[in-house]
Amino acid sequence: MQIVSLSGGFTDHSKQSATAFRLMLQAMARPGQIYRISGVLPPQPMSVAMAVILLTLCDQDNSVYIAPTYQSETVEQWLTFHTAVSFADPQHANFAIGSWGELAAVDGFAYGDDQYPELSTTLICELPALESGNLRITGPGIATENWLNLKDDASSLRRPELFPRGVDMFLTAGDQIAAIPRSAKLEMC
Amino acid sequence: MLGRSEWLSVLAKAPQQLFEDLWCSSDLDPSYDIIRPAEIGGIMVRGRMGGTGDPFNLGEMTVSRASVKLSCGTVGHGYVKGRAKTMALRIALCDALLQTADANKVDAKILQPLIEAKLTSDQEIADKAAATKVDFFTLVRGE
Repeated sequence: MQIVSLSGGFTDHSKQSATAFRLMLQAMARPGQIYRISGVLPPQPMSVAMAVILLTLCDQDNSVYIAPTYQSETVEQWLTFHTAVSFADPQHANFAIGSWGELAAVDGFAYGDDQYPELSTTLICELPALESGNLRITGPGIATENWLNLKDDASSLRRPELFPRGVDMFLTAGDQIAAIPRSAKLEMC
Repeated sequence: MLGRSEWLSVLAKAPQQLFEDLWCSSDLDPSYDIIRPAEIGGIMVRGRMGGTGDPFNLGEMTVSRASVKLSCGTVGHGYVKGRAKTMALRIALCDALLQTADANKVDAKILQPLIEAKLTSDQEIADKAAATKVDFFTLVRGE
């Protein structure tokens, strides 16, 4: 077994994860607003923001799907050590991590059911950068509109036609996060 | 030399004061990084019905744990009963050192004294229990 680096977790777990959780809640409540979260130094190729989300939200009762370019023994062992999370395929996972392109190419995630629409996969999509762009976001939590630099409206990934079923997503780049809940409306402009 | 799960078991059940004395007199002082700071939590202890049957929840127990990495890269994990953050950290260091060339030193200075102390205290308990055994000389024992 190779020696895997397990360092880089929260140093002051209760404070740091509470701070991160508050910022993640804000991101979901104000879709498209960009926030910064930190406190964790994960193995490549996970970004700081992606790893903070996982360490804050995952535990032994959750599962995560890891897309191919993020999949490695190092990543799995690091996540197992810090969260005890288990690993699952996209249709059954509570969380999914990967680059935007990889997750968009997945055949289907868990979208919840009509009685429990929240039992869906939460996507954590990594982008090279997160900034204002040509994707217009409107809907609950947004006074007028927000803009992000996504390349498409992700309708095949988000499945807005299934509402209230669907997926919610965090977008990450470095230590930045933004979030798009299923209630948000996306349009390319 | 014990296997890893055996030495972790000895360390996890060590009496706090005795372990502290052994550690301080051992002059072990490795350089290390902390990969999981010492934290206190609970575990559910499970037993088996009749010792071999279906598992059941016996009760919750407080456990302290920590994980360290020595400068050579070896990772050690420490788990101990009760609220004992410093002890958990030191046990993690012992676990790491026991995977390196310093294993014999840790074995001699810490593990062996702990094992001996446990044998002595187990024997004391057994002796006290045996002292309560009553021999009936008017009845034939069923054994």
